[in-house]
Amino acid sequence: MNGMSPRRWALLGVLVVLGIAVAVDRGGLIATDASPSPDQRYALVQAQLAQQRQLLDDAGHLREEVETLRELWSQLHPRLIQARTAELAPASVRDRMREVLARAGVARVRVLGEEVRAGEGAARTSPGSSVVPVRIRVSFDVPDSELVYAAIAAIDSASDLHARVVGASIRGGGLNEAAGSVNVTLTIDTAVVIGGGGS
Amino acid sequence: MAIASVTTRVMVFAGSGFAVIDVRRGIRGWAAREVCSVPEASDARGVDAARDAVRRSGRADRSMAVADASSVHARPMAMTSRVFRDARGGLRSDLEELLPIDGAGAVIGYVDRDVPDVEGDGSGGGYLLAIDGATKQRIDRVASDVLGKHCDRIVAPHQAAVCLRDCVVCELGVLGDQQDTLVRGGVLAELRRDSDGEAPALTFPNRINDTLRPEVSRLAICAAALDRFGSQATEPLVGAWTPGWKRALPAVAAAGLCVAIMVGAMALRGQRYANAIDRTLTTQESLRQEVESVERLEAEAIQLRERLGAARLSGPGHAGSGLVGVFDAVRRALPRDAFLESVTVDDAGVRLRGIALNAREVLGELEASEEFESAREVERPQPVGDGSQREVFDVRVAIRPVPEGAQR
Repeated sequence: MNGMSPRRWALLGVLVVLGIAVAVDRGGLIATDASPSPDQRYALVQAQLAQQRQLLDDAGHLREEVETLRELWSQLHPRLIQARTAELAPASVRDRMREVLARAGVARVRVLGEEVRAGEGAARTSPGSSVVPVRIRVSFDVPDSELVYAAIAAIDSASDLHARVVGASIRGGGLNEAAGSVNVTLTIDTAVVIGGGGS
Repeated sequence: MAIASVTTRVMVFAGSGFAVIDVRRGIRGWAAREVCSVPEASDARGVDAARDAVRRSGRADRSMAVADASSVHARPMAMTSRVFRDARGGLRSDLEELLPIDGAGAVIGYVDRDVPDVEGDGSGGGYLLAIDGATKQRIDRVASDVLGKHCDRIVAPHQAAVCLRDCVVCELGVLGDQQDTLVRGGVLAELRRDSDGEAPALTFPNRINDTLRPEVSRLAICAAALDRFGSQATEPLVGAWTPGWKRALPAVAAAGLCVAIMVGAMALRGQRYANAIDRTLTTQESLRQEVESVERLEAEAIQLRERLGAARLSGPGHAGSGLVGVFDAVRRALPRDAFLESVTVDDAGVRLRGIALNAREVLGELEASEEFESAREVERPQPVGDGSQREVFDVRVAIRPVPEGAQR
């Protein structure tokens, strides 16, 4: 290196400066998170565009799916119990169950408890509406087992109610016997639409 | 000014003649081309022919003359050429005291010499060089006749030797040829006579002829190279060397051009990206309404999925039959003589308590039923205790799971 002339040193210096400049330019060495380099910004907007195009490509399937979901919802919505607020949901369920059981010939229904099962798929997707599943336990006495079937069928098969008996405890008269009073406790799952929920 | 190539037209005077040499400095080095040579400058036809030859050879970037070695007077001085520049006026006025020439019209120059520090005082030194007024006028006249103008610079051949650093000088004098060693212009015959063979040779020609043609060309190249390599160590008899900044101008211009190209390329690259980003954003903007519509659709799908999921009911029972179906299944599976006291249905299955003639038969029937997955005793069968031989049974059966999709 001692034999290098000033001209060679100058050339070497220029090459080093050029190399640094090119590295800074190409590698974005001075770019920070706050100010991404032009190629990074370009890659970002390209990725966003690709995402948009992918979304549009999938739009056909999405439209079909939404049509199906709307159809299902339009069928389900009239059968849901409605409440203005989540706090009023148990009361609405109580009233509705008494009404349905009364239709089946069951009077004096005792409500043993309700549970708003918010943790099990409660859907609160918009401020104005949500669907909450509610479980209610009711008890009543009937003179024979046929009324038990009628009561359960009234809940499970009601065309204007979306509910299902998921548990039952029947004591007293046997299923194969008609004598005596039968004490029935039913556990019923249903869903309440809060705030209307649209249709 | 050409960056890649500079042509210097050098008039080399030797004896009574002269030669015109075009010295071209290009990327590949120095090259000399003889334009013309005139053995006798007083020959008018020779000068006319030389003028024609010069005209035909085209333009040169600059011109210079190398005086005949025999017309140059030299005197060693204890100063450098840098000091000479400041003292030039004084030396010029005292010239007749320093050199044995007529001072009227004479011109002076200087050349540093790089001599061993014999005195040990670190002092530098050089040679004061001079040509008298008559020689200067002769050079100017010939230059005007041949080139159409005076030469930009006039140098002594001793100065041209600077370009070769240490070299052997062959001075062809009227008293016979003399061969000396020159160290940066200093004739060191007395000091370096024994190193003749090691240094390159430079001949000061004393006439223009075919034999000396290579020496003339070599001297012309050395003289032309002075502006580049000898400007620090010499001061020409007439004219001045190109200032350093001016010589560096082409390199600076080239470097500036490179930087401009590089910066321009960077800016261009940035601009290309900016344009591409703008185009992409425009495309995004054109898709925005459609995308927003699809995004709304997607949000609706998510909302509906969540609502339907939250409203989904499940529980025990066979497909579509619910709990009534479970009871029917129990009733079908139980023997006719069995009497149920209690039925409890929950997620775990159905617990049945009752009385039958044979509790084991109840369990067997339930196990055999296709409606149930399994059956087990919760408590061992106990006799009723009323003397009727009937038993109390307490069994639990697992309901066969509802197939996926059958729940509502």
